[in-house]
Amino acid sequence: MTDADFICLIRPIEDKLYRLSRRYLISNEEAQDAVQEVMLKMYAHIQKVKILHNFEGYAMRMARNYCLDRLKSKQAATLRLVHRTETSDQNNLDRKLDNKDSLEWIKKLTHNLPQQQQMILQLRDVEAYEFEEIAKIMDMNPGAVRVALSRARKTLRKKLIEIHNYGIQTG
Amino acid sequence: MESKQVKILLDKFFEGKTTLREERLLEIYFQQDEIADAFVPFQPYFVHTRSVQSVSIDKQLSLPNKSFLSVMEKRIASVAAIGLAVFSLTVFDFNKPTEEELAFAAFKENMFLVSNQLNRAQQDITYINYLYNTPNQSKK
Repeated sequence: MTDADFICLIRPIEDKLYRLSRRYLISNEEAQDAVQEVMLKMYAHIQKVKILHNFEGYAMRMARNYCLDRLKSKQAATLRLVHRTETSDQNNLDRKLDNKDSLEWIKKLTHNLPQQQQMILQLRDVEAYEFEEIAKIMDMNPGAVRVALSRARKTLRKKLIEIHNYGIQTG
Repeated sequence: MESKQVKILLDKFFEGKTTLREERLLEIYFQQDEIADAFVPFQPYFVHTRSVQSVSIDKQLSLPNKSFLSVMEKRIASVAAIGLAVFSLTVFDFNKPTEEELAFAAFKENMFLVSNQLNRAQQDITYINYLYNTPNQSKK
């Protein structure tokens, strides 16, 4: 496989890899490094196997494993807790929301969920993966993914209704 | 989309039973400015999801340098090419003369021999002439 072929495969998913890594590692810089590392590993791997079925799923799974390793390592202790401010594409709707802190609340709410539920929410609601794909990435079975997703969404629904009705900021 | 439909889809959504297509419909619905009051609490979640989707990596990723193995492979290939060239020059004698050249060389050699013989004969005749004339001179 030529470098150009590899770039054609990796380019469409590098943002997905970045978002997933950022969800795990929090730090933007760490997430960028994670994507770079995953890309190098994928490059080395694909030079050996030549053909790789489900390139995207394999890369996402590799990113997840890399992030988990990073979190386990001693280096993780020094991770900078820096959140990127989401200034891009703030559409009119954002501004029209009655409560401007709503998006921040959602962030906090999702960060308070168990890590596995956070990841499944990310993979389903942000990246729009099928349950089978999520199951492969997360090393779970599709039924368990569905249950975890339902639990995460129900928790969010409960908190959202609380916030809306009483303005209680949880977490 | 009507409120009744939205409610059904939302219920399915929170049960984790919606398809990706249905979730896409909900996402589109919640991007609207005007939505039913009953669904307002959930709007931030869908807006948040949409904003997260727009997050992208702002670092230029670089491909690895060529691996040590590939460098070695190139070196081996270079050495092999040089070896092949030397072998070719040794085995295949590119200076090998053609048939015409060989024939010309043989002709040239024969002509050289003939020339030598003629020269020797000329010398012999000269010597014989000398001997023939010498007694006559002594008689005088």
